[in-house]
Amino acid sequence: MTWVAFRQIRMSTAVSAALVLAAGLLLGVTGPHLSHLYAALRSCSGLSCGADSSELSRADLHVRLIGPALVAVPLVLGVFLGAPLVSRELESGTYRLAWTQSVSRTRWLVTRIGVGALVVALAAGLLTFAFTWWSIPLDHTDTSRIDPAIFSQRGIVPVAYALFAYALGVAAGAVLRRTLAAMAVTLGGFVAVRMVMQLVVRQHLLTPLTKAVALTPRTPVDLMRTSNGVQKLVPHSPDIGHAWTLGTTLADSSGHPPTSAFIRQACSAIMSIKPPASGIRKSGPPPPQVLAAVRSCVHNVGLSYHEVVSYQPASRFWAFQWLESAIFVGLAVALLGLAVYWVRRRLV
Amino acid sequence: MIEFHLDSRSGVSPYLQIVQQVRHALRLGLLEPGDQLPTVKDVVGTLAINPNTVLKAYRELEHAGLVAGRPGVGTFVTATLSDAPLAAQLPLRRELERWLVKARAAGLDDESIEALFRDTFRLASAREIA
Amino acid sequence: MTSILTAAGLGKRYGRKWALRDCNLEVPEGRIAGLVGPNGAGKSTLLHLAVRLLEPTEGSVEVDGQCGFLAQDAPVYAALSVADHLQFGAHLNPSWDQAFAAERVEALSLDPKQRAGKLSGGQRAQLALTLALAKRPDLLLLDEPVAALDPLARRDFLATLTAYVAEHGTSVVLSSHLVADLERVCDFLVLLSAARVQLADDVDALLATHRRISGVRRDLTTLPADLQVIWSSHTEKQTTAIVRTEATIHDPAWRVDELSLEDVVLAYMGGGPEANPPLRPVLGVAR
Repeated sequence: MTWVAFRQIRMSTAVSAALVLAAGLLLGVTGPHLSHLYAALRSCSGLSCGADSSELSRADLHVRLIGPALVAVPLVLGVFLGAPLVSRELESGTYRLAWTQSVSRTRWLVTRIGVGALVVALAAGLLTFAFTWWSIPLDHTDTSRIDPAIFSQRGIVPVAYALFAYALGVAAGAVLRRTLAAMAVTLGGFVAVRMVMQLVVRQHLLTPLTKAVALTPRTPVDLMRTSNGVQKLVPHSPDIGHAWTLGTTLADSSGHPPTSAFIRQACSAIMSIKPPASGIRKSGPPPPQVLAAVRSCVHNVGLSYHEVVSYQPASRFWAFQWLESAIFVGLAVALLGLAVYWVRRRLV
Repeated sequence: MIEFHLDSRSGVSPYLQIVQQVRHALRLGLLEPGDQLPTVKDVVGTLAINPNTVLKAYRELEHAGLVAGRPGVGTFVTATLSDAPLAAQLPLRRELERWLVKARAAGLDDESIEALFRDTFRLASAREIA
Repeated sequence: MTSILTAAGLGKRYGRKWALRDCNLEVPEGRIAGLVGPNGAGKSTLLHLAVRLLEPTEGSVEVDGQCGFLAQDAPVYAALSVADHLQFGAHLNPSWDQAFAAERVEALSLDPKQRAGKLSGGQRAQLALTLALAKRPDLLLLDEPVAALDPLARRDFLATLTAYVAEHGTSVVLSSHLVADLERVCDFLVLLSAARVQLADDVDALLATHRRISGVRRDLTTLPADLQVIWSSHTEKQTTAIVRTEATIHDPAWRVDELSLEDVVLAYMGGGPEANPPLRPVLGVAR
C-alpha cells in the first residue's frame, strides 16, 4: 500500500521538489550577497553608508515579498496534495477500483494520508530552513523574530501550518467530494484560522508581561474629542526593543486608569482650539498652538499617570512556536480523524 | 480439429447446434474415431458462450455413445455415424412425398402444412409420454 | 448446490427513494449469472452492495469467498501505466497472480509502459478485467462491462471472460441492459425492475417453462390453473399471452411458440405498449 501511495503522488512530489529546489537556489544565490551587505552596513561610517543603506532597503523589500511567498508555498502544497486525495478518486470514479482490492478502506486512506503528510512536512521544513538561513543577517537587526510579521516564517510553525492546510484539504475533499470546491474551502479556511490565531489568540497563549513607562509630553498620543471635551487619551506603544508590543494603557500608582472627567479637565486647553472642518484630519505637521495644547494635555495627565505597556518578550519565541505548532497540529489531527470517519462511515 | 460456429438466429439452442455440428462432421468423415474435440476453453474462447453449454453438448454426445471424455486430457471421438440410418428411411421419405402431394391438392399452402404437421406431431408426442 | 451470493431482505435507500428493496437472492456457484433490468432498476446498487462499496439500509448480502469487481466504464488511473496497474494489484492483493497478469497483458498486445488514459475503451476494459481476474476471485462481479464497447471488443471481452471461467470455474455475475449478449454467455438470470427482484432462475428452466401462446380472442381467466400469465395483449379478434407453465400445453386452440431469453425478460419487464395486465412482481423458483 505504501508503494501505491507514493506512486500516486509521484507527480505532486516532483513538483514540490522542483519548487523547493528553485526556492533554495534563489535563496542560495541571493543569500551571501545579503549577508555581505549587512556586514558592510554594520561596519560602515560616513558617506559609504548611504549607498549600502539604499541597497539594503531594496533588499528589505525583497524580504518583505519573498517571506510571505515562501510561506504561501507550503500552504499551496498542502492544498494540492490534500484536497485531491479523496475527492479526485470520487470524481474520476477510481474509488470503485481502489476500494475493491484486498486492503481495507481505512488502511488505504491512512497510508495515503501519511505519505502525503510526509512530503508536505518535508517540503515545508526544507523551505523554512533555507529561508531562516537566508534571513540570519536580517535577524541581527532590530527586527524581532517574535513580531507577527516574522514569526510565521520562522522556526517550526510553517510546517504546522502546512500540515493543517493539508489536513483541511483532505477533510474538505472527503466531505465535499469535489476537488475544486475542496481547494477553495481549504484556502478560505486556512486564511481564516491563521488570521484568528495571529490577530486574536496568539497573544493570549502566554500571559503578557507589563512594563511601566513614563508619560512624557513628547509621547505621540491619540485623542478622542467630542463636544463635551476630550474623552480619551491613548498613547502610542513605545518601542521597548526585542518584544512584541500588544497595547498600551494608562494607570496611576495604584493601577487605576484615568476617568473621562479627569481627561476632560486635564486637556481643557484643547477645547479652545477650533476643530478641523468636517472632521477630516489635515495632513502635514499640526500648527504650533495645537501642538502646545496637546503637549500641555499630555503633561497634565503624565503628572498622575504613566504608561503600562503590555508585551511578549522575544525570549518567549520558542515557547510560542511550540504552543502554536501544537494547536495547528492538533487541528490537523482532528481534521484527519474526521476525514477517516467520513470515508469509512459516510461514503457508503 | 473442427471449429464450431453459432447461428444466433437459427432458433436452435447453442448446445444443440454444437451437437448437430459434431454429428454432421462425423457423418461427412471430417471426424474419425480417435480425433480430439476442441477443449471447452478453446470453443468458448472463440465463440464467447457459456462453458456449461459446451459441456452439455459434449455430455449429450457422450450419452449417444459418439465421444468419450478422458479426464485431464480431453474429449475424443469413439464412434462413427454412417449414412445407413438415413438411407434406410427411404420408404418413409417416399410416403411423406406422397402425403405432401395430397396436402397440396387439398389446397394447403406451406404454412398450413407446417402448422398441421407441427400440431399433429406435438399431440402425438404428448400422447406417447402420457 | 451452494450459493455464491446470498441476499436476504436486502435494501438500500437514498433519502426517500429506495434504490433496491426486499431483495432475496441466491445465485448458485459455478454459474455465469446475468443481472438485467432497465436503467435505474438497482443493478449497480446491488453489485456495489455485494462488494461493500455501499452499506445496506436493511437486510444483508454475503459472498462465499473473495470478490473481484469491474465497475461501470472500467475505471483506471489515467496517469498510471499498464505495468503500474499490475504493481497496484500486486501490492494490494495477497492472492495476486503476477504471471497470469503479465501473460494476459502480452496476449492483449498492451504496451506495459502505456499510460492507461491513452488506452482504447476495449483495452481499458480488458486491463480492468485482468486486474479483477489476477487476484483469483471466487466470484467476479461486472457492472455493464461491455455496454460502451464496439462489437469486436465486446466479443473479445466475453471470450476472455468465458475462457477464464472454463479453466477456473469462477462464478460470475454480470449486469447488462443488452439481453442479447447475456443469452450467449449466461446460464442463470436475475431480473431487477423497479428496485425489486422479479426473476431469479436458471436460463434453461426459464426457456423451458415460458411459452408464447396466441389464438382467438379469449378471457385469460379461463386458462388452466397451472398456466401463469406473465403478459398478455388483446386485439379485436386475437389474444396473445406469455405464460409460465411446468406442463406442456395441449389445447389445440393455441399456437404455442418457444421464446428467446429476451422475450422472457421483456415480458417480465412489462412488454409492449399494449401490455395488459400491468407488471406483476413474481419471484423466481430457487433451485
